Amino acid sequence: MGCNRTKKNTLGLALWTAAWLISTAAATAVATTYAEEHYGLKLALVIINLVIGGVMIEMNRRHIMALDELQQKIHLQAMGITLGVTVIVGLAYNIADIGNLYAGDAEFSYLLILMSLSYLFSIIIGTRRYQ
Amino acid sequence: MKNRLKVLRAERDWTQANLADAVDVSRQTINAIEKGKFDPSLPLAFKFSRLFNTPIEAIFFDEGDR
Repeated sequence: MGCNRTKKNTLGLALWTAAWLISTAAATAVATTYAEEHYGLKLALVIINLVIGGVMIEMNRRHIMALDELQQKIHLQAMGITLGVTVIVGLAYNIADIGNLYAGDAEFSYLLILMSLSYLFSIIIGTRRYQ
Repeated sequence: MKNRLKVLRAERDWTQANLADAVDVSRQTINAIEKGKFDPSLPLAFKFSRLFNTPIEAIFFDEGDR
């Protein structure tokens, strides 16, 4: 399909995702290092992070819209599975945290990893299903 | 749903990639349609119809119809 268009959108999404990751790392590092000072810098980094995140979401939307109908179907199924897995496991994880069923506090980053892996494997399985 | 895409494509000596480019989808999608694993949308079915100059019902048909 508009192969060049798909490649261009994929590259754009990859670049903005990388930019968002870098801005997230920078905002986290500064917020962690200067917990009680540099209020303006921390606020600016959070705002930049949100703006870049917004652009990344738009790039993802364009990426999905540029896919053909089978690819969109595969991604839609992957999103549905990812949403379900995240809600169900996330709530169970939260309940386990409240009940002190494991040592330490619940980490949001674990849920992000779970979402990423769930989406990745759903895409791989969906793609193989239609081969 | 079954289809005659593979036959129509072979008659013109086209590859799956050729057909994919002609109707603006991926080669994987053509492969999935030919194998009956994925049913195309009506707009895509019309694209095939125009491309092969063949009525939709002569390209796509229910298994019980033939």
